[in-house]
Amino acid sequence: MSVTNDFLDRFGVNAAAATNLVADSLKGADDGELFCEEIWDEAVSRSSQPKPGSTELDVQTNSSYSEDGGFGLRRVVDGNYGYQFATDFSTCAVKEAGSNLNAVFGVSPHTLFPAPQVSAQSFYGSANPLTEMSYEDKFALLEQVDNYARSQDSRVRRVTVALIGSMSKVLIVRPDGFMCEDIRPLVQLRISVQIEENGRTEAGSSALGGRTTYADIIADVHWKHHVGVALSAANSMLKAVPCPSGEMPVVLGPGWAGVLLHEAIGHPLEGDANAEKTSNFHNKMGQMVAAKGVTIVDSGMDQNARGALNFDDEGTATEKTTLIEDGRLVGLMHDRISARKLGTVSTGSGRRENFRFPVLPRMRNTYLENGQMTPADIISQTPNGIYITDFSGGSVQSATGQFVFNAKFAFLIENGKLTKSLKGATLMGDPYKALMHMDMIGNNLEYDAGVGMCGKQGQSLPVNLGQPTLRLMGGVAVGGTA
Amino acid sequence: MTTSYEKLAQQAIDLAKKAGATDAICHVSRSKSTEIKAENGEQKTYEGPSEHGIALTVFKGKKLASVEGVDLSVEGLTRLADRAVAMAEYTAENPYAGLSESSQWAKPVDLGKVDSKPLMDASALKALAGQMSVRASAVKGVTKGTCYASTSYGESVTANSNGLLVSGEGTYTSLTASALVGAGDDTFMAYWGDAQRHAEDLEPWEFIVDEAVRRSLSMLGAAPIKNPREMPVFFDEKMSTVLLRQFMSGISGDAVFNKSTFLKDALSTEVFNPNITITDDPLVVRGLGSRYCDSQGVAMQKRELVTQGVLNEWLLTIGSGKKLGLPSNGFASGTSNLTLSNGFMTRDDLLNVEEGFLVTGLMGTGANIMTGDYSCGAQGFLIKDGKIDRPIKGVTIAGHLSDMYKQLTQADDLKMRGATNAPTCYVGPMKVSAA
Repeated sequence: MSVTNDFLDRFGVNAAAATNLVADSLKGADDGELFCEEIWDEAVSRSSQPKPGSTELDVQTNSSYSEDGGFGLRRVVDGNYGYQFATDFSTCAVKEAGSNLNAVFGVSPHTLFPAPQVSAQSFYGSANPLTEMSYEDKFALLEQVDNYARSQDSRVRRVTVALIGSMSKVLIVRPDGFMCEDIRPLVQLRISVQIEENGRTEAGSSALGGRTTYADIIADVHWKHHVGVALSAANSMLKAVPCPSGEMPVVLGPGWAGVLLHEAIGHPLEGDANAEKTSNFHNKMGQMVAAKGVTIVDSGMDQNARGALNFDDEGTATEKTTLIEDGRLVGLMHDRISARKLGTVSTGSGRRENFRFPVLPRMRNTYLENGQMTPADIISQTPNGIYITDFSGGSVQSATGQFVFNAKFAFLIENGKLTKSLKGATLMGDPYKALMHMDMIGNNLEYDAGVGMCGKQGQSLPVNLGQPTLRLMGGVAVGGTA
Repeated sequence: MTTSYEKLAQQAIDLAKKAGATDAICHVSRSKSTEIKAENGEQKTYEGPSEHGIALTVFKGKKLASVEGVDLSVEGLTRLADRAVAMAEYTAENPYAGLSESSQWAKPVDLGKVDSKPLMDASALKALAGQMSVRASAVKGVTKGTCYASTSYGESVTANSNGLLVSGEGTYTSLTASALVGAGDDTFMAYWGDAQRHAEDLEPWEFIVDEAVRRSLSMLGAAPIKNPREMPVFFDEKMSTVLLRQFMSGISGDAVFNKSTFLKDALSTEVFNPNITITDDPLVVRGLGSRYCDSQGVAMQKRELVTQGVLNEWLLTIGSGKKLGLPSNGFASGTSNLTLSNGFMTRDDLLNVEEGFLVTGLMGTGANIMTGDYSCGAQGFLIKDGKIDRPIKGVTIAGHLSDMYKQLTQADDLKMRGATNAPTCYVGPMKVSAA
């Protein structure tokens, strides 16, 4: 298999010698690989606010850049693993890691697990965003966004805009001669605004991005939309009243509100939690776990999406994995270890934050498929309840799956109409009950605009998520301050 | 080794100056760790990272830029320094940024950060984590005992172009246990752990395991409360430290300048009741958060951030200090060993209410520092007539941070364990809602 020589040159070896190095270092293991990575990151940002007692703006800018790189060697023995990394590219360091791992984990009773097929997929380009724009142009863009936000609302106090880009180059070498190489760009534009009125300050934010070049995200039609989103969020918070408490119908808006599904349904459908039987779904394969009409998918194949990958971090081609189909549990997300434990094959979901981390089964782009209803009908057919379009964060208890989410952007539904905006709304529930009570699904599937970061066991990864408008007619409770 | 890192840091500063920087600050560090995870007696994972890195901030007059890298060769340092200087050209002048000066520096103090005994190696950690997980899983009702044992060593150097040169090294050993108990919806997993600079200061591993098991088992049978109502809410020691950390983010100088904290006008006012004093002491020997200077080289000293309820100072760096017209008070690396003062009442007396809620776990990100609104998922125990009645899960507690601070009343059970410590606290009546 042919790869470019960039990494091999760093180690001072050719392809055959690299394979031998890994084969020697992982002798006796039943799986594993050498994962080499170089990462370049940059961020420019601008924040402005009036100088105390003046209308003149105090503008601060930041510019940062980082280079990172190294290798991680993973030795898998009978479903357990040892992992050692170094910020280094030397054959000596790989050999040393190999012998340390061997000392702790010894020889597997199994032979080497067969290599994946090399992927020929391409969901993103290989252009380097870091060489795309001059610093003048980057800062000019940030200033333009700042000025636009201020021109839209005179109560804007503080604006922060950041343009972030990164590129990672990876090489995977297995003991059996498998090698593959990928270049992964990622860009993002973040906007946040603070509005002050009568001494009360509220903030709103929005962002967009993906595995693409800056050119794709800096058109003013895009960022003007996101400035509008941030402003309307802050505005709505200024008018927000305390949220009521209790069990009530909850309508979730399209797009980013899908983070609830990601956390409460996505994580429990990751292979490791099921192989270890810590997920409540672990014995429900083939059973109805959601209302009819609920279809949830995780895909690594969406063009230019944050969660897209040509192959995962074990070298397996990514795919579109159906998790729940018309209410029935039909699939899980697997890396090679969890797949073997459950007698199936990897779904190309083995990911790591970077070379410092071992692989885990992770989400890519997780979304709920469209239903039949219009979003307007869902609201109008809900006499009383709350409508949530954005969450500021949340957490899920791994043992029970019980979730708590804090709404960032919520409205009261009264007599089938959206009325007051709400603050302090907390949504709490049980994912299994919530799925069973998802009684209305809209026809307006939206993906998030490219903001998602997913955390698991200390590893943070870019993901996408999405959903149409949906209604939960039970299984969740609202905790408010009213 | 430290000497070579001192040279590297100075070399990076020289290269930045050669590239046209007027000033620079540089951190160089390396670390090596070993961690073993064991489950029910079986070794599951071993991780052995080894890394180094450099971070360089260069100034061109009042303009600045920051770079980081892992290539410590002369070519690597030159590439980074050149890039940083070129980047700084395009930034706006920053009147607030600057370097620490010799009058702000500290004399080195030996804070006992290095364990003089050899750290446990992988096989010793493997044996210990295995033993811990066996003890946990042997308890009736525990379906899985998962335990971690790890050690690490790190060293770092900070230098700036005013002549600052600070080097330090430190060791850590940590043990963590978790126990999975119950089945179906009635499942819990609680953790307990300890991390120390010196392995001999760790809580006994048997205690760590037993505490994780006890905490998990005590939650079995937990259920929400039926009717949403207001009741007195208490935070156990762990949750009180969470509240204390949130308070710290509300008094950071940058947050005050940006008006992104509801405490922006709270300086010199009574934020807490007069029984509350909050102290940060960076000079505790072997303290987990101990350091004699912050990452900008500014000397740290023991400070009462809150005295008898009154907020004395913001947490300032050189930059956020200048924004507010104040000198840095050494918080560029955050707080060190932070303590909420002990109370005068026993825990039993504090909890002696007709009905209340003792919170032992919080979920979600419901503390809004900008507005003070507070709404979090919680679990813990229902208290009836001063006694623990039953475990509670699946509820939210809601209120406002300023009310919680005002009503905060501590028990006298303060124990010094980690870098942030607080006793059991009453946080006032709060709305408790069921799921």
